[in-house]
Amino acid sequence: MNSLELIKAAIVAVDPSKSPKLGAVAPETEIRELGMDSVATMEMVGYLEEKLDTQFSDEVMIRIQTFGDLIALVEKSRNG
Amino acid sequence: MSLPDVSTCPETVVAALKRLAGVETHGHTFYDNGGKPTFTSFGSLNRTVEARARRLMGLGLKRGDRVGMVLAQPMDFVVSFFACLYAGLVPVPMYPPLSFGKLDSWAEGALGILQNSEASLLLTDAQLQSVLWQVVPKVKTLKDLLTVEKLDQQAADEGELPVVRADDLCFLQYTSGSTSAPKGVMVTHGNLAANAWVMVTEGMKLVPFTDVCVCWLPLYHDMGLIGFVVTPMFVGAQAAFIPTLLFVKRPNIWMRVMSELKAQHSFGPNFAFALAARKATDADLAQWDLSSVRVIGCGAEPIHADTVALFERTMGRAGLRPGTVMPAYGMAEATLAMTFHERNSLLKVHTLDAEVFRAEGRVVPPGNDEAVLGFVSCGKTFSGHGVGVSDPEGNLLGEDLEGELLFRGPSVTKGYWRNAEATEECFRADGWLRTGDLGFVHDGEVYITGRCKDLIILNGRNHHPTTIEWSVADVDGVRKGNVVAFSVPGEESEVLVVVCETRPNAPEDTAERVAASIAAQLSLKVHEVVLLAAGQLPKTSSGKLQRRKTREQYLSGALGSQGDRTLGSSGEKLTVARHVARSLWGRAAHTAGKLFSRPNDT
Repeated sequence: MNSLELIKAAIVAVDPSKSPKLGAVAPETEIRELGMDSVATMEMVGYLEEKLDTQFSDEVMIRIQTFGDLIALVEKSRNG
Repeated sequence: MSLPDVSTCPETVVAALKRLAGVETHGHTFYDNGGKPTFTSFGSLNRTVEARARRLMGLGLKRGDRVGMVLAQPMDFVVSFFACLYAGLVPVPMYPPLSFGKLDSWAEGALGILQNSEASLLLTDAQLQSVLWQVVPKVKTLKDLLTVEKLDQQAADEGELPVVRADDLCFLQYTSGSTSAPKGVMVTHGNLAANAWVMVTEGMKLVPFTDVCVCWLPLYHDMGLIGFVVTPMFVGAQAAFIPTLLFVKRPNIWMRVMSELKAQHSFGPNFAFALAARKATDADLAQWDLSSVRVIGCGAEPIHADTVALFERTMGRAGLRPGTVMPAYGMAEATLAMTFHERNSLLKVHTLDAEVFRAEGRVVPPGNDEAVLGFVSCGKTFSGHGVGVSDPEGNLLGEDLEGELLFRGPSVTKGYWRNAEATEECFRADGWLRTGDLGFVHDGEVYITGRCKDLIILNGRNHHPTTIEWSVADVDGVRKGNVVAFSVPGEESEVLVVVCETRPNAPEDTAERVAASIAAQLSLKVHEVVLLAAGQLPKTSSGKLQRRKTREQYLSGALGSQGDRTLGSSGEKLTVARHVARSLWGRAAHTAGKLFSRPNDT
């Protein structure tokens, strides 16, 4: 599963109703545009951390805005 | 070594911690971001606090100077908060950024609080400092930004620690979600001791050196701060602190820690109960032992009886007793707690005649064939405190009459920091605090029926409807100024509904773009966008929007020409009696569940 697919799976796990919106997602799409609230967003991060067996630092996380940012973070964790 | 006598209330929380200075066998447990616990005895905590206080004193700050604190780690927060108090400084707890992006709007909020409080120092941690440097030049009073790591390397002042008295300002509690300038509630040491002591002795009934309290709530917020950082300290009850973000990412840690520590107390807003119940697996439930749990307080946002029931049923498989979840009512202006529901009893519901109540605001027993409303009791207030109700002119009303709820007693704070106008509005000259909530008192117990203001509470955070309404003003096709936002009970917790009047040529996807605009600007999820033709929103004769009426029409399906559609998926739920209770962390509503829904409504 590539990083974008993993992120999409995380989003669907937290909120299945977002599934139809994920087709149009591009790296420059802002994650907020999906309309998830902050609790759901962090639940999604928890899902990713569990799958990747890692823990993102607060400093890195608060700077994430787009899918591209999140993909880069996932890639980094996979390679590091 | 014997434990100190904690049977009397110390004058201040500083004296409370110092009273525990020799206790090495009991203390707090702090969890880090990875869920790893560290135990710190009260003795060790006192030493660490004093050491940091001396370094703060070494910075040359004056007594009473304000110190902004943006600290996400519980250990950093607790030590720094008490260190400020030991040093005679006034901590100003501030919320850290908790989600993705939007750092600019977060920094703007932080800036508002720093400017309003005229902070001299900003304390943060190594991870968050890079975000905060940008606001430093904009706060004239700010002398420095320090990380706790750097603070601990400063020279210590070996002089006498100042003596702290009950009348001294203890800290500023900024209230959340305001669109106007932030308001800092001035909590004195006397207020704090008074509120903590009634919570210890009458509310939570903490057993000294025995009970364990578990908290994942943000500590910059009144419930986490006063309920868990301050109150247990008065009797040497032990607390365990979990980083808020860790709970949201891995909700199971809450009940796992409750089980591991054989804890008695915790607290959460409604959404947390839903989250915890949803995430608990069969394996978790088989492993956990929640039989030691006595009370889990519930508040901060509208409480749904269905959610509470689901939580108690789920956790019951791990030994949680029914009736453990306890509604409570409070607000920052009252330090924290105002009333507590009776402990270990099922939610107490008072039924009344719906027609008489709606038409006249009077509480009378229901007639045989009349429609019935049921409200959940928030319980009685504490000794030395009082609750009352007033009419819109401010005259006090007796029991069983609906009006604005009032509160008085030694827990009522000194008003808002350097804001005489707002203070005068909320704190009456005769000692009563205006809560902004509608309700009645019956047999000394408080029942909350609604809100005087149209505050929207989602996931425990307050949102002014205007902020949400303004955020869609520029959406193509929406008639500017003709937007109404409110919340309604959803399946698990309150959900947001936005009603807009549109122009005749509005694009087809206007509803989607309204939702997207709110998501992008405020990170809020919209449950439903209702579009109306021009002139269909209820307005007063002077043309002012009527939010409450719009909401009523939405709930009854009478809104605009789309009446049938607006009932939506949760329509059948909306017919049940609705109970609003502003609770310990804010305002809260209770739905009494299906008990009061008429059989043919669906």
